[in-house]
Amino acid sequence: MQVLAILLLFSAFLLTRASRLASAVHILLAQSAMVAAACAVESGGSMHMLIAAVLTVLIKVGLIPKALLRVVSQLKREREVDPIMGPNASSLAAAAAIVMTYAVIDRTLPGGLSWDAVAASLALVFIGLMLIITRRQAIMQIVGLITIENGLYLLGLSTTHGLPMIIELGIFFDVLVAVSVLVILTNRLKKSFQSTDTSILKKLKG
Amino acid sequence: MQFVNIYLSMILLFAVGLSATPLLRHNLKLANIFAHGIATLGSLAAVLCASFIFVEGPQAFSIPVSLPFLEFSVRVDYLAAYFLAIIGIAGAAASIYAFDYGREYFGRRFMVMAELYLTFLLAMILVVTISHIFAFIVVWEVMSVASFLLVGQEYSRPANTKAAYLYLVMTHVGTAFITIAFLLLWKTSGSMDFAALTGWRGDEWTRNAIFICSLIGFGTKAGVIPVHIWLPKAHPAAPTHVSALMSGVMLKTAIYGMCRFYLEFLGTGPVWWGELILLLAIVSAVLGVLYAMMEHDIKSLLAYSSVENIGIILLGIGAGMVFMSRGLSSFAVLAWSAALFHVLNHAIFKSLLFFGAGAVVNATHTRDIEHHGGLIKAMPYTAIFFLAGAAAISALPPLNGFVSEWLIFQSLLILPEALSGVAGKLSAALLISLLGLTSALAAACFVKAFGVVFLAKPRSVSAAEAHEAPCLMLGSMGFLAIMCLGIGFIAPWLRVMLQSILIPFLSAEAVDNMVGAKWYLLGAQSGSAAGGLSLPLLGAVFVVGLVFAMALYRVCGCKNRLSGETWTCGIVPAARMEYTATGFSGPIRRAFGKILRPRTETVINRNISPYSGRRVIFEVHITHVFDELVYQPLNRYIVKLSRFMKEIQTGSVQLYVGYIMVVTIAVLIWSTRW
Repeated sequence: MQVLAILLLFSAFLLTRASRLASAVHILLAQSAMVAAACAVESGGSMHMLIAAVLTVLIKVGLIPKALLRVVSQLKREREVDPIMGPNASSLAAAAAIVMTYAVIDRTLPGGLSWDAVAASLALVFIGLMLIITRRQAIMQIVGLITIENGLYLLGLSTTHGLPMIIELGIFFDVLVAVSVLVILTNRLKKSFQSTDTSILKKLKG
Repeated sequence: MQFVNIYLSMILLFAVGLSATPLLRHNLKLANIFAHGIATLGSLAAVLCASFIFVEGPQAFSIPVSLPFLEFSVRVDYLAAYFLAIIGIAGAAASIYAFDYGREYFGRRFMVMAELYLTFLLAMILVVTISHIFAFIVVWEVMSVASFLLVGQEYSRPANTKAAYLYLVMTHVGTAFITIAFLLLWKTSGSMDFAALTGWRGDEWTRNAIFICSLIGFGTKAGVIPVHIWLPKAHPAAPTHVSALMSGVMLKTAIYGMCRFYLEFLGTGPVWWGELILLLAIVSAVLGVLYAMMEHDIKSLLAYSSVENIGIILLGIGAGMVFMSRGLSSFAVLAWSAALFHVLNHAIFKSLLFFGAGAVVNATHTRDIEHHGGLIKAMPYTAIFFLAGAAAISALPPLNGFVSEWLIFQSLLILPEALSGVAGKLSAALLISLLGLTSALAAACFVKAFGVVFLAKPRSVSAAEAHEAPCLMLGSMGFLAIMCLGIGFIAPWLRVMLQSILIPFLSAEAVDNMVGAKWYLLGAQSGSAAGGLSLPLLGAVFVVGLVFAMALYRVCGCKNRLSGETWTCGIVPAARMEYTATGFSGPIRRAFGKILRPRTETVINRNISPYSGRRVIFEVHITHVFDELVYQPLNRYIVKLSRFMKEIQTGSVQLYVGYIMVVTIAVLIWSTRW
């Protein structure tokens, strides 16, 4: 579990440095696979946790990255050219976020159960938020959103050891719907403006 | 026959009406008859419920609902039954009126209107009978929202939607204060049932807070100046039968709330409570009638006159509260019963006047009285009924308005005994003279309304082509007109009944002191102070005088009778020579110039003909003091604040997520209690 937490943090760290959209999606794919692995490790053989792991693989490793990669392949300039905060600065910010979450968790849950996993998942949430804030490309923002989602899922997993089946299914469905809506919107954006830069959306303000 | 059965069958009747009316949407005629028939029957059932209470005594029952904080508990005491009867009588009249009036709305969202009308009626009935804090607030809200939607019925006119939203905002401010008052009560007493709140005694601070909150809350609904601004805009915008119910009955549910709070929950309070209400009341009465006098829109005029009448009712309530604080319970009985009496009377004559106005607007298609005139020839019955209502609201004997205003005068005349100090006695005297002024202005206002609308010659083509209202509209007006006359004569009995309403709240022997009036005499007596009024005697004097005058006319009157055009120095009299509404109210506008601050606009166009012809357009606008002092600055402030808040809305996705992140970090850090 600890190894997985460290690997997850590392993947999030890599995300802050990725500027090619395709590689960002691939890192995300790996990250989701790690979440699925964490889920399987935590399950201890219980059936419904295994189902959740399989679903994670299906949706977050299979469906979502595939849809994102399809959009990316249709884009011409598929790079994050002019991010609001450069890779170096955002890596530093990610490091700061990791330090902060570990410090906070150390104070609130000193030596509690799965201390590492909780801190790592919070760090994932913050890095995801930061990705959304500092990137202009819509795809990168979706990647940030799924990172947040992965973090939250991991948080749920490490604190409750598996939510009831119906809630798990609901969460997956939610993510699926959110991402499909986002992909559709990104396609629209591309069609209307020949670009998926979200700063265009400022024009919508009345 | 159990009370529960009657009550629940009344609710069931409304439920059937609400659920079955939409099925008839393909046949509007049938839907009209069905929906308004149900409304009529339901209103009559409400009257039946009320009379059951007056025969059998107060009733209460409760049906538990398996939801937290919610219980369908009903308690109908004499007070609730009285208001229930008022809702029933006015509701029945309005529903009968709506049989004919509703046809105007065929094809113009008629189904929505009929459904909302039923909901509105049912909500009002529930408001006065339910005795559970949470359920009360819920039905109060249903009543407000249903009436808001009815105000917006003709939403194609921007003025109507504006009025509706103003009403929605104001009524929610009011509901917020009512909720605070109820929550304070609940918190200190621990009970949500009205019956358990009766003997509630809290500390001074809580009692004052509850008083202020309930005054603002119910005052907003009642349209007390300065929180009246929605009323003159919303009431004219609604369909007429709803305007009549809103003005005549919905405002009274606020009075009912005040009675519950000030008689039952709070009981006797400090003197300043009563004095504050008296102050608000007299301001509402005088300003309300002044604005009514200046109004040219007939329904707005009636709405402002409602503000005035609410002021008069509150004068009675305020005086009653002052007497209660001073321990003069028998005078308190007099004042409270006067206020309750005026509640009934206003419901009847204001509904009647609105019905008359609705018939006139239907016939002429304009609400501007400058375009009416001469309608008495085309609409004789409407004219007679409107005149009866106008006479009643102007407090002319022997109609009902006179009795209640006389009683309120009686209680104000005793007020100097209760107020201490020179300032108190002087202000009581001032109050009496101001009420006198109000009555005089109200009479002038309705002379104007009747004269300009019905007398002389038509001022527009549409007024000249007017036709009499259909028979059911006339029927309901006639019914109310007869009630105006009838209540004047049964006033002594009615007053005994009103005093029995007050027995649970004021000491019983005080009530007994006041009840000792004879059938022919309406009296107020306690110790040395006394006043008496005998309507039968007045009626007899009137009849004898009439007979005498007729006899005199027979014996020595001259029998010549000429008929022809009015002599106007040899030219044919035309409508342009008439007294206009603006002209009629001119002297009063000038006399009260300091308060009304009229601004006149005169546009003279001399280009029509080089020799003599010129056209003059003359307009007068009056300034509404509270609009200028309170609402316009408030409006500017809110706009300024919104501009400031707009700065954080940049439209950037990244920034919005940034806000979320800042909040998340803040919460996280706060959670560690650093």
